[in-house]
Amino acid sequence: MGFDPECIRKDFPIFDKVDVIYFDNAATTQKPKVVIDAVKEFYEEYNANIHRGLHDLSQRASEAYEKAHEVLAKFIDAKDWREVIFVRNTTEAINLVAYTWGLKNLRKGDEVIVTVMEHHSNLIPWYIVCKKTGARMKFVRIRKEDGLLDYGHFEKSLTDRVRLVAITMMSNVLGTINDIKRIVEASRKIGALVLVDGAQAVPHMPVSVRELGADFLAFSGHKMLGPTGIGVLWSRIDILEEMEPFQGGGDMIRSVRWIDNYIEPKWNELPWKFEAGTPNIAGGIGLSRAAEYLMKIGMNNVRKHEKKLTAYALKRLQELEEKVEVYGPRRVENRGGIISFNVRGLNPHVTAMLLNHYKIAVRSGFHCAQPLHEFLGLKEGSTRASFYIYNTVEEIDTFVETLARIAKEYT
Amino acid sequence: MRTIDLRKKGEGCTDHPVVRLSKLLSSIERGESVKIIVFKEDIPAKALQLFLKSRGFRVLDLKDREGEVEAQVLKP
Repeated sequence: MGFDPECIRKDFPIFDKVDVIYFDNAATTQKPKVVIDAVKEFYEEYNANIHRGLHDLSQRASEAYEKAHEVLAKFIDAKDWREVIFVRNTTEAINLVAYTWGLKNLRKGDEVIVTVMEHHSNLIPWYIVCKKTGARMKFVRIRKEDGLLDYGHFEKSLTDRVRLVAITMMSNVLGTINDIKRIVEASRKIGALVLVDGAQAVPHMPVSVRELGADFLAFSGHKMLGPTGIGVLWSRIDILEEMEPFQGGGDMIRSVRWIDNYIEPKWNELPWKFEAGTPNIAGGIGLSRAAEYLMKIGMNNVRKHEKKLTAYALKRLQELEEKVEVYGPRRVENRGGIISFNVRGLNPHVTAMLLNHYKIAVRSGFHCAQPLHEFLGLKEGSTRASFYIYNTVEEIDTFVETLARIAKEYT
Repeated sequence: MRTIDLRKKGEGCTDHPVVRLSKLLSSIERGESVKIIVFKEDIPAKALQLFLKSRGFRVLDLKDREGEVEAQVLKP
C-alpha cells in the first residue's frame, strides 16, 4: 500500500460524517472500517466464549482470539506469541507488572527509576508498590531547554539498589523519544530490568522488542486504531513464567483440585495465566485487524509521514513565536507527532475550547503528566496537538492560521 | 436565579473553570436562566461569550468588570 493520507482518510468512516480536524490522537485514534467491521463481524457471525466450548462458534472465536496474539507478536517483532498478554490498556499492563513482579521482587531500600516525563500510569503503580514494599522511586530529570532526557543524570542514578527502570519510549506531552537501547544497556550493567511504556511510541514508529532488549513493553490498542479496552503487555517467557498471576479466575488456571478439604490450583500456560476470566474477545480481534492495517501501510511510512507533519507544524508555529510557546525537542528526529504549546496570556483549556469552536479537536490540561508540567513551571498545563496517519499538511495550515486568529482576538 | 460561581479553582486539570463550566452547562434545564461568574484570567469575556453561544445559550447580560466576568444566560 502506498502512503497517501488523503487515500487513508477514506478508510475512516468518521471523516465522512464529522467535519473535524482531529489532532487528539495521543488520547485516542479514529478507527478504520476494517477494525469496525472486524468487531461487527465477530458479534454478528461467530460470537462465543473462547476456550470453553466444543461447538463451532467457540472454536472459531478461540482461533481468531489466539491468532490476534500472533498478529500482535509479529507487530512488535516478539519471538513467541505466548509473550503477548492482552490487557485492558497500558495502565493495566503496568499495574500487572507492578503488582506481580514488583510486589515479589522489590524490598525495603530497593530503588525504582522513573523519569519526570512519565504519564501518571507509569508513576502511580510504582508509587503504590514502593509504599507497600519500602522501596523508593528515583526521578530522572529532563533538560528544560529541549525536553530531552538528561542521560547523565540517568546514568548517575543507577546504583546497585536499582531493581527496575520504568520509562516511556515517547513522552505524551513533549513528544520526546527516549533512547531505550541506551537505557537498557546501562541498566543491564547493574542487573536492573527495564519496563517501557510504549503507549505513544508503538502506534507511531517501528518497535522491535528484540532490538530494544527491554524486559517489559506496555501499549494500548485504542491509540493505534484499535478498539478501546484492549492493550498489550509483552515480556519474555522466562520472566512471565516466574511471575505470579495478576488476577485469579477462569481460564488462568489449568486445574483446581479438591484435596483434603482445600483447593490446589495449577496455573494455565502463557499467556492465559495472565488473562483471567472472559477476555475482551472482540477487542483483541479488532486490535489485530488494526495491527495488520498498520503493517500493510508500513510503520516506517507512518513514522516518515508524522515526521513530515511535525517538522511542518513546528516550522509554521515558529511564525507565531511571539504569541505561542512550543515545548519539547526542536529536531524531529528526537520527537514524535505530539506538539504541546501555550498561547501566551490564554489558559490552555480556553485555547482548546476556542479551537473546538473552529472544529479543531485538541487536548488541554496536564495530559496525565502533572509532575512534568510542574517541573517545567507550567502550572496551568498545556494545549496538545497530536497527529496520525490520516492528518494532512493542509490541516496543519488551518490549525496554525486558527491559532494565529485566536492569539490575535483573545489575548 | 441559580449562580454558578467558578472563581474557586482546584489543583487538578479537571478543576479549571472551563472544564467545570462545560459539565455544569449540561445540567441546566430548558427555560432556566443562570448567572455565571469567572475570573477574567481564567476565561476572558469574549471567550466566555463564544463558548456559551456555541453551547446553545442566549447571553442576556455580560458584565466585564475589574478582574471578573459575570454573565446572565438563558437556555432557550
